[in-house]
Amino acid sequence: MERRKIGLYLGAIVLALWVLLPIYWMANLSLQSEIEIYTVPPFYFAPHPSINNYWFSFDIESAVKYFLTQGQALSLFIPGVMKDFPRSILNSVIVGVTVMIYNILAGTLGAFGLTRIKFKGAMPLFYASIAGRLIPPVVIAVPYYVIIKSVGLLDNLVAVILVHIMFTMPFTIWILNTYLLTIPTDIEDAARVEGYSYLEILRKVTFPLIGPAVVAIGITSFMISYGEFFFALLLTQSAASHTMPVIIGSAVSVPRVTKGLICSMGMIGILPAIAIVILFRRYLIGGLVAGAVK
Amino acid sequence: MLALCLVPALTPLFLFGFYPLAYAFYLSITFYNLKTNIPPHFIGFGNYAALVSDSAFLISTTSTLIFAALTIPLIALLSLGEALLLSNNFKGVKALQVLALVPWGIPVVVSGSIYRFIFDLNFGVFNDIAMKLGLAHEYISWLSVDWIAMLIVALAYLWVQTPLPTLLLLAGIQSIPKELHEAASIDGAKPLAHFRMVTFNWLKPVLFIVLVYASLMALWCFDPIYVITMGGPANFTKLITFFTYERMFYFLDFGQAGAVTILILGITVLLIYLYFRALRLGALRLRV
Repeated sequence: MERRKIGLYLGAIVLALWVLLPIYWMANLSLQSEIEIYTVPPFYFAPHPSINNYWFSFDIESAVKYFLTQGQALSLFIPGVMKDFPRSILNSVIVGVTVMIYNILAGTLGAFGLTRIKFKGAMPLFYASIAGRLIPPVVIAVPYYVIIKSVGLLDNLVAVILVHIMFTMPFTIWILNTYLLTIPTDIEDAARVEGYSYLEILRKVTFPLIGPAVVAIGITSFMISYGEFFFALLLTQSAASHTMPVIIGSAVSVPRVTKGLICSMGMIGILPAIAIVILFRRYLIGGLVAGAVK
Repeated sequence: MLALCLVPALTPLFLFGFYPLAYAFYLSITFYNLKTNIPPHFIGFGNYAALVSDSAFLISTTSTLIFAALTIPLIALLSLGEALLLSNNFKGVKALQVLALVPWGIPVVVSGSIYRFIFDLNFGVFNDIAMKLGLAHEYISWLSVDWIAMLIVALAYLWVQTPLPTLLLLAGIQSIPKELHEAASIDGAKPLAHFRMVTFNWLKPVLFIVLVYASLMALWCFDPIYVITMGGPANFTKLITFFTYERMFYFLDFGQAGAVTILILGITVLLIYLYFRALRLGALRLRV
């Protein structure tokens, strides 16, 4: 038994290190000045921890001034897109939350229609919505770009939101559908006998019952949308519509980039998502499980 | 009339999913290259034929296969191992379950940036560690060694892609009825047989979902390539999605790009069918 315990704790330590080391390294770099970061060998602990980089993330102008006073010796480069960072976090949250709300409302309505209202074509429509998940994102890139351009939505957050909804909806429908089928319909039947309409039943009876699944798909769709890079990169061109992954993704490949800034931006960028994981973990398991396992 | 409640959910799907898919199919059988003066016209399988004889395409198909062969089993094994570990009862397991889920919330772009910095030539920490451990005698540009670059991309990708399968498998393990375990114990099953007969059998449907998920993500992988290697060294990590992206936005050859994407779709469907057969799931229980 003791050996088993040791094995478990060893595994636990390895898992914790696997998760935490990369985050630690990002935090470590974000607390160092660029001079310290561009030192050989690297510092394993920030020698003079400072949150300067976090201030600079929201105020690139003063970062530029600061680096000028540091002299040209470092010849660091601050990519222009970085100045849009504050706006991009806001944009990412706007996109994520809109996608989440749309998924919750339209997904519940759709899954309710598929499972509770008997009509011809429910099954084909269900399979069609699941099959939507199999469409590779890159397949629809060109056609979608052309459509968006022709309706003049290029460089607009709406374009990003619409394509994210398209990605997330199949999963939403699937999870909600399976969850709906696991709960007994007795109460709903009783409500129908009482003379409630379908929409009233959905609102007053069914919606509260499927709470965990709704929370789970809400979170999942937020996560997918918040971190999505490919379409956000294609569809946005200016400060007004860049999302956070676009800023970080296009800045990081610049040689001699200000790494500390990227790391502090990354730390800020992962906060909302991590907070959500920790806060709603219980619902995630409860909601996704019924859909996946049953 | 009541079917109207499907409209808000399915409209985006058909308008921005299936319609573009049909359009991509149209592109795949059309000559459509904006870098030439030739107007778009029907060429049948011409794009496919051009691709098959294009060495760049073959290289990126190979690298996609390597990446898939590397990451699909790894995601399945890592997440199964993690889930088995987290299903045990020991002090701090609840906190570890939350911790294991954290990378899921991290955008792939951010994960890619971290790993890019870690494996940086002059200022990355990995070179320093390798030197101190005596694994290397000088700083090595890891990202320009083809296989290692591939491994680094896979690492950044695995880090964010294992938590969700872990969550699903953990939930599956926790839903195993106690009677099954008891029955196996009474029969005196050895640990390995116990795992195979009870846990693995019960987890098959979840494992199917995990394999499908891992395959889709591997075939569609784009973000870590863009952030870490940009397809290099020597196109070794130029996965098929990145190849398509270049065909579209640098070469402006929409016909060939369309053809590649249809091929990706075909491989996706084929893989799903194979898993389905391999795990002998019988009827896929999409509906209970």
